[in-house]
Amino acid sequence: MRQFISFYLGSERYAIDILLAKEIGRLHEVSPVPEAPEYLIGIMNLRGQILTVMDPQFFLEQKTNVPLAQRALIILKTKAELTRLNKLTRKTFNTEIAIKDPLAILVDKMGETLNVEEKEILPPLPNVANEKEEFISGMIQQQNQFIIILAIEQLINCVCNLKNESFKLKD
Amino acid sequence: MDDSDDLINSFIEEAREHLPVIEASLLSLENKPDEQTVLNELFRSVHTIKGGAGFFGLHNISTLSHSMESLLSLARSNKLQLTHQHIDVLLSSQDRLVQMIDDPQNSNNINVEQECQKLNQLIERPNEHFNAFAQIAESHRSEAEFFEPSNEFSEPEFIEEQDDFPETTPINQQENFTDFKNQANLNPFVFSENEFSEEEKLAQHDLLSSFIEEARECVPRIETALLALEANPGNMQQLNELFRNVHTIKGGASFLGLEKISRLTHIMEDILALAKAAQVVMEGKYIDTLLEGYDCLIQLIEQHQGDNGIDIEQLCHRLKQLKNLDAHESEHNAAIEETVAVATQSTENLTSIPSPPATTSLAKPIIEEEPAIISHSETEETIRVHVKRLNKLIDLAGELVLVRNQVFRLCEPLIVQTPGLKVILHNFNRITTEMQEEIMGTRMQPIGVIFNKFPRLIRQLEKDLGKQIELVTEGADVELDKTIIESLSDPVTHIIRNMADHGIETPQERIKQGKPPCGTILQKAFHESGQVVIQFSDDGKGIDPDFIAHKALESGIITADIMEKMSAKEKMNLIFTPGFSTAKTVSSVSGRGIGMDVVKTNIEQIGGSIDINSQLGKWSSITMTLPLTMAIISALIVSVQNCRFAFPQSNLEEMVLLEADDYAKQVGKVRGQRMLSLRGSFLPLISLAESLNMITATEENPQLSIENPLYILIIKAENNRVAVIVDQILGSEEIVVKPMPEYFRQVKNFSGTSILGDGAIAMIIDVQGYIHKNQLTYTELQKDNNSSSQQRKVEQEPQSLLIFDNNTEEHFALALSWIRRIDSLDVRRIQFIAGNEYIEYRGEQMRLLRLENCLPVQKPNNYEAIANIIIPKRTKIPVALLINRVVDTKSAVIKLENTAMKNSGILGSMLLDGKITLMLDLHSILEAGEPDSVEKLEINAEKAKNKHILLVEDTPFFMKVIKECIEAGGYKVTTANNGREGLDTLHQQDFDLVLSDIEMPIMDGREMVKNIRANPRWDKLPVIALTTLNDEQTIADGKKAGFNEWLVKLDKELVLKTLARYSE
Repeated sequence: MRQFISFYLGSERYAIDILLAKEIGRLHEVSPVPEAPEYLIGIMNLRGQILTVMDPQFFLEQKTNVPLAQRALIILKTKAELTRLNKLTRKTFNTEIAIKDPLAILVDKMGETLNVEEKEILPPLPNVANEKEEFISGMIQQQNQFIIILAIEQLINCVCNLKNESFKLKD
Repeated sequence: MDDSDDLINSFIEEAREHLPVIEASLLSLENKPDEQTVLNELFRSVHTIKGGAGFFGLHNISTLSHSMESLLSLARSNKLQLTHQHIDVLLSSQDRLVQMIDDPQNSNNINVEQECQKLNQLIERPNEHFNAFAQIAESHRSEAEFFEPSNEFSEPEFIEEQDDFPETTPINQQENFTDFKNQANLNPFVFSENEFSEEEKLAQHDLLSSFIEEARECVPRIETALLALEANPGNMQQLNELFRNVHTIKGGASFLGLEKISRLTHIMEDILALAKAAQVVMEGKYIDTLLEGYDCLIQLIEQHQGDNGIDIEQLCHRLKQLKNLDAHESEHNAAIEETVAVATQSTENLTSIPSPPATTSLAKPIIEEEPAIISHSETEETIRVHVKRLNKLIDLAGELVLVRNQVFRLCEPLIVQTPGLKVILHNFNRITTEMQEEIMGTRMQPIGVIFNKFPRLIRQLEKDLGKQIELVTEGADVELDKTIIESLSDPVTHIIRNMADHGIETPQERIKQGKPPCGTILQKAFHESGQVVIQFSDDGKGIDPDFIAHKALESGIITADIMEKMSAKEKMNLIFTPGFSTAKTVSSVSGRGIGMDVVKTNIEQIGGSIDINSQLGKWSSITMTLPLTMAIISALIVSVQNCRFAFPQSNLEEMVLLEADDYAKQVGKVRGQRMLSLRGSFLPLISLAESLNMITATEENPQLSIENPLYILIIKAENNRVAVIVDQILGSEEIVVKPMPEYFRQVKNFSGTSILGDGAIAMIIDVQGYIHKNQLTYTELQKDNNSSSQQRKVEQEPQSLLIFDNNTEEHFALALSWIRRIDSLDVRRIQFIAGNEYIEYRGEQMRLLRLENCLPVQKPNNYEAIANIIIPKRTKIPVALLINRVVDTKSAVIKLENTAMKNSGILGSMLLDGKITLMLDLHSILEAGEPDSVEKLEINAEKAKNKHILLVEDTPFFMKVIKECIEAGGYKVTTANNGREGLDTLHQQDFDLVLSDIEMPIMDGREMVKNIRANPRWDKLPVIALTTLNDEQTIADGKKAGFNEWLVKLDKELVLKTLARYSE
């Protein structure tokens, strides 16, 4: 049994493993970093730590109408926090996520928490979602709706290593 | 954690503390071999290392230190005089020790044979003078002989020594033996055998008085320590100090036969030994009785001669009672305590009944346990903490400061109606500040950590260079952040080497100069206005600014005209230029200047600055100003577009408020770049918002059509000063630097972030990076001298010029691209035909033109017998220009002045190598002198009329020349200053053709043409490169990038022809 938190972004519903999330927050007093790529919304003061806020809509090719201030933040666990978690639970939670500095993803709205059996997780179905396949690690079917399990490590790879011109701010 | 690991770590830590002592002592002994106290200190340090190493099975360390110790013990017993030879061997052994202690796990694999052998050789062959004792030295392993001198040896000295271990029993005995001598400063053999020569008797007298002197020093310490213990019975440091002092007195006294002193101190020591083993607590009665003992001791020391009638029996008895009481009480205590108890018991027996040393072997195995206990309790004074944990604490302290500030803001309005709140807030404030300072302090280390490395280095350099150098240290206790200390080590070593090598002269030279033969290098640290200043100075020959400047000139770092205008200080600072070296003086030790740029970079990286000063022949000094810590910097907070930015104070020169009225007066535009005139110098003026792309830069920024005054910061990095416009200046703040999150790696403008007092985030501007990124690298030098330099080349293409003169005071320059060839000419070959001059040249009649006939220039009085001719490219009939002599060819960026005087062939004038040189227009000269020679371009005005050409060029001079040329051809011309502007213009208007320079700031020609080709709208648009870069590779690359043609600048005909062709 795994637990996922779901959220809405643009026209889709996504989910990530609940163990990857550290907390849910709101955007307040975010400072934009000049000349940063546009998917990096800025940095904010999270109880004395610098939290970087990333908007995944640029990667997932979604378009949102929700005003910035009303969107929700999912603050991800850093590598150190995941390691601590593994130590604490004496389990190895396998993830390629290795972020050093606190990072949060900006979503439109939080959804409910899902309890899913491993066997209920479907492989990505390209015809279901029109997103880039690389960001989908699986699907969950709930009633008539498909929820995309976000391959968040892919997203992070993009943020960390991206030199791609197309994501740079246009002048 | 594993216990033995813990212990071994504390041993290593301790050993690391001793190693510098060993080195320092050796160096000081080299100058003053008779310093007994230094020798003793050295001995103790080696001894401590040996002891610990043996205990932990680090055989090689123990073997080597044992050999060192043996040699030293000979020296201590005056059987050997330490010479340079000895010191050398000991120093190299010390090096090996350092190596092994750095890596204890592998120490047993490191070969110490060589060192040991050398040491042993020295031990076997002490100095000539001491030959008589050599035999004794050889035989001093004999136990019986060893312990004969005194029964006092049976005392529990081991407790202090902490080094005994079974494998090396004989050595230990030797230790005791030497230690014993240490206390007494006496040769026991001589003493015991009663074979005093007169000299030795005198020596003994000397020893007595030196003992008394030492004892007088010890006694006050005993009192201090006792009183301190009374206040704090658990203070191990004081207890150890007390024990040592009592022990010292005891050792000496017993040896010199001062029986009363020895007995009294012995009993006192016993009690202290109990206290050290934590069997008794140093409370009231102990302190009282011990203080009595102390009083008595003073009397005894002051009246040590003969029978002084002081009765110590009663006191001794009471002390013994105290001791026995506790010894019995403790018999049933825990294991470790028991061993000590046995030890004390056995020692007690030994004291009362003098017994042969053989009995000590009984006590020994028991005492083996001692080192661990004692070293453990001693290291409790310091705890090793992982740097990670410290850094976390620093972070937390930083956050606490933030929280405090927030609490303050919230509570401020409540102060009035809440009694007591003010006091609480005040306390809160004080404690937070203090706590933060303390935590920051944990990362601080004294600069001595670095300074102390240099006596050894200097000694080596003295030898290598054949110089005499004295190193004077001041302010070694000034503390700096650990990271700063670490990154200082290399640069500072470099400076010291340079000073020793180049600063200090040889002794002979110094005497000639009337200086003392021994040179002095001073290393000094002190605080100044919140920063730490580290200064190195020498009294050597100083730095010759002209020598430096000439070297820089030779290596092409500066040009002659720049050099002429440089001040002595500026010349000296050339030392810090990358690539600078005075090749003449490269040696194995240092080549002055090699790496000085690296030194500078390193210092600047840690937020410091470096300065050099000198007086030729007298002194030179290098001063570094460093921040106390890197984690907190002082910064100016500004805001732009409601975002906060922090400028490090160290990069800030001044703030300027530019009133609207003064704007026109003080701001101008040079090559498309706004410049601010500030007290005679021109600084690039940029808006922070624009340069960070927070607002779009427009030709005339609304911000600059100003009504309000402008806030301008003058920032500097390296030699660049830039004026930056900000919206608001919020004030100065001490900020805690946090690194930029990893996700912003490609953003280059910032060196970090910080959370300000109000919780807002500020981004810290990396001033150096910012200036570079915005290509604002105008140095003062460049501006002031109005000439070219390497950095400028990035933005402007240099032009190859032929420089010549005409036997007059005028100098001329012609673009090489116009010239086909230059040849020499015998003036007698000139023939006159119809009033014109001709020569026969390669089978053709060549018309000869004289400059003075074509241009308003001076007429030369005569020509040399062999003159030169310049043959231009592409003339219809053969023509040559007669000149006197070719001075040089030079590649330079053309920056013309006086272009107003441009008429009939003179484009303007410029400074080349410090001389005003007239830049000539060959085409006009030919036209004036021999109109037939010039191809008349058939301008099809009809065709040209409707053609619109975009000219992209960054150099105003070329812009003007080319624009006039093509306008003369009937074309309509629009100009742009760089590729970016060019593209923008293209977007706005339609063009038939683009003429573009290649090397330009902001966006170069290649980049622009790529952009043009990427847009289908300009698919067919001809783009022609107009440049001085004409090597094949560049041309091929250019064509690949999308240029239709590659033309050489200043060839008007070719340009017009090509344009005409494309106009078809």
